[in-house]
Order: sequence, then structure tokens, then C-alpha cells
Amino acid sequence: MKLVFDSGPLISLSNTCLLNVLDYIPGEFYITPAVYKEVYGHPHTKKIYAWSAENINELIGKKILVQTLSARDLSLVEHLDHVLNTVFYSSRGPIRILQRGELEAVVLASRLDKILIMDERTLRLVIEDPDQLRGRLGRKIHSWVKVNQSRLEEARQLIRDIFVARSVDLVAYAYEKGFLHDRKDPKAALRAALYALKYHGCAVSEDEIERFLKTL
Amino acid sequence: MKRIETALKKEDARALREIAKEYIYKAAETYDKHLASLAVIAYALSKLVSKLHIVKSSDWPKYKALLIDALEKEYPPERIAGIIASLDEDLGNYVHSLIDKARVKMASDLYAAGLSLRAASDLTGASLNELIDYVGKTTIHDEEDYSISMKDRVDALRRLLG
Repeated sequence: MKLVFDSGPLISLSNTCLLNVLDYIPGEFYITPAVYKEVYGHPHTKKIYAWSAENINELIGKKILVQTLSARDLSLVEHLDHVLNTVFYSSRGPIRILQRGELEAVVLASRLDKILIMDERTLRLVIEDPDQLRGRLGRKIHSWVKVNQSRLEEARQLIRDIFVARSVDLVAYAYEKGFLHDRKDPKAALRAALYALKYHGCAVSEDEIERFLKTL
Repeated sequence: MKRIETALKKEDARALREIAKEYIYKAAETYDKHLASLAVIAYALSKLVSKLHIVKSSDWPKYKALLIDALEKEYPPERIAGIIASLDEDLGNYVHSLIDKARVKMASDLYAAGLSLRAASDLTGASLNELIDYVGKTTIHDEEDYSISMKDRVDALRRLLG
């Protein structure tokens, strides 16, 4: 299977020294050129992030391939940009909530095996729970926010088959395959790893982690 | 800018924070980068005026006058940010600049409101790495009602990957 990574999971896995989780995930890993710029291009020039960026860069070309988007992909990105950024609107017009970077990853995932590894929640909420996102937007900007239902339907049609997993989901999956089992207390190590990812930006709640750990 | 100027003259940190909040959410509504920059400036100024070692410093009156003049003349936000940056360099105690921190804070408010991390970073000029790191230390993700449990996602991965 071909998994497409957004920047967030790679950055979080690198910052938590968990990039070796990829050894336990079967399949090929892809990123877009924009994601490469975000995980290496900019951060490696900043002392504070250079080490994390270097660790990711070590995997580029070996484990992680940079896939250029075709003209057809780019035209789909344009279309998605228009559709997804006009789903929510207030009295002042459509609210732009997404950027091209994540949409490029979505388009690449849709062309490959439709698995997107993304830590942030906004795109995931558009796919899985748009009402929650609408409520959040309305509460914060102190204005009514409505959903353009036909646009939402169109957006869902465009991205409906894409499965989104986060870095924590990958680590939990890898744990079943033996990741962290060399630790003195593997379950405690898993718990610590999941929290480390959460505190490094993965969109997961404490409640979700605890509920998951209880199933093991 | 007039409102920011008035609040700065009074060294009113609370008013500056309120302006920042109001501007950043308005910026989100219309994807207005200029307004987002003003929010960043108002927030950075609120932090400055609430630091005793800064407002008690002998250099503060000079910088305050510079900032008020820049706001009065409606200088571009980047230029005002530049003045705050030099003040921060002269009087601040941190490696990380105050303006960068203000950008990340405003961007995290946008993310909390529902914009993606990239959209929030683009609007405010915050670094994506810093923003990802920052939001992880907030309770933003604990406030989400999740529709698919982690167990379900891992089960789905198992079905897909074997």
C-alpha cells in the first residue's frame, strides 16, 4: 500500500524520536514537494529545528519518496481548493479554512491508495464531522456560520474514499506488530509514546488515548 | 491602528489582548493578512507592557514613543514589528523573539477556531514547526468530540495494511 504523509506526522515523529515506527509499517511512503519544503526546506535553516529536519531528510529517497504532482493533479487541487474553502460561510462570505499544502497531499492520496497520514484535525473534521467545525468557527468568530450543503456534498464526493490516520494511530498499529516490544514495559512505553506525540502536536485527546489503552 | 495606539499609550495589556482577539477572528472570517498582522502586533505589545523589566527599563520611554509614532503614522505592520523586534533584542530575556511568539499564539487561536494549521500559519506568518509544537501543549485537541475512536482507526489500518 502507498501511504501519503502530511508534514505534521513526520515533524511530530521526528521531534519525539519515533521515526523508526516506519520500519513496522508495511508499504511505501510518499510526500508532495510542498510537504518536503515544510519538513526540510524551511526548518533545516533554523537551528532549533535543524536536527529534526535532518532526521526526516535521512529517510527521503530511501523510505520516503517525494512525488511530483501532475498537471491533472494540480488542476484537481485548484478545484478542491475552491470547493472546500466555500463550504463554510458567514455574513462576510466564504471562510477560507484550508491551504493548498494539505490539498496537494489529499490529491496525491486520492491518486494512490487513498491513505492519508495527517495529524491536524481541520481537514479530518470537514470529512468526518463538518457540524462540529461549523459550531467551532461560529463560536470563535462570534458570527453565524452556515454550511453550504451542496458544496459540502461535492467536497465529500471528491474526498469520500480517503482514510485519514494520525501518527498516534500508526504507532498504535505498529505496537501490534512488535514496535516497542523490546522495552522493559512495552505498554508503558506505548502510553508514553502516544502522549509524546499528542504533546508534539498530534490532534488526539487524552480521553481517546486512555480509552484506546484500555482495549489492549 | 488608533485603538492599538490608545491602548499602548495607557499601557493597557488587557485592552491590547482584547483587540488582538477581536482582530484575529475578524481576519479569520475574511482571510485578511493585514488584520492578522495587526492582531500579532497588539498581542506582542500586550506582552511587552505586562513585563515589569521592560516597562521599568530606562529605554522603554524611547521605544514607546517610537511605537506610538509608528502607529500614529500607520506604518506597515512589518515595520512596527521591526521596532518591537529591536526592543525585544535590547531588553528581552528570551532566545525566541516576542513577535514570533505572538505570531504562534495568534495562529494557534485561528487553529482553535477551525482553520487548518497551514492556513493559520499563512495568515499570521508563524512557522509551521513552532505552531505544531505549540498547539500540542494546549488543550485544543482535548476539546474535540471525536466521531471515530482511535481503536476504530487502528482497526481500519489493520484491514488496509494487514
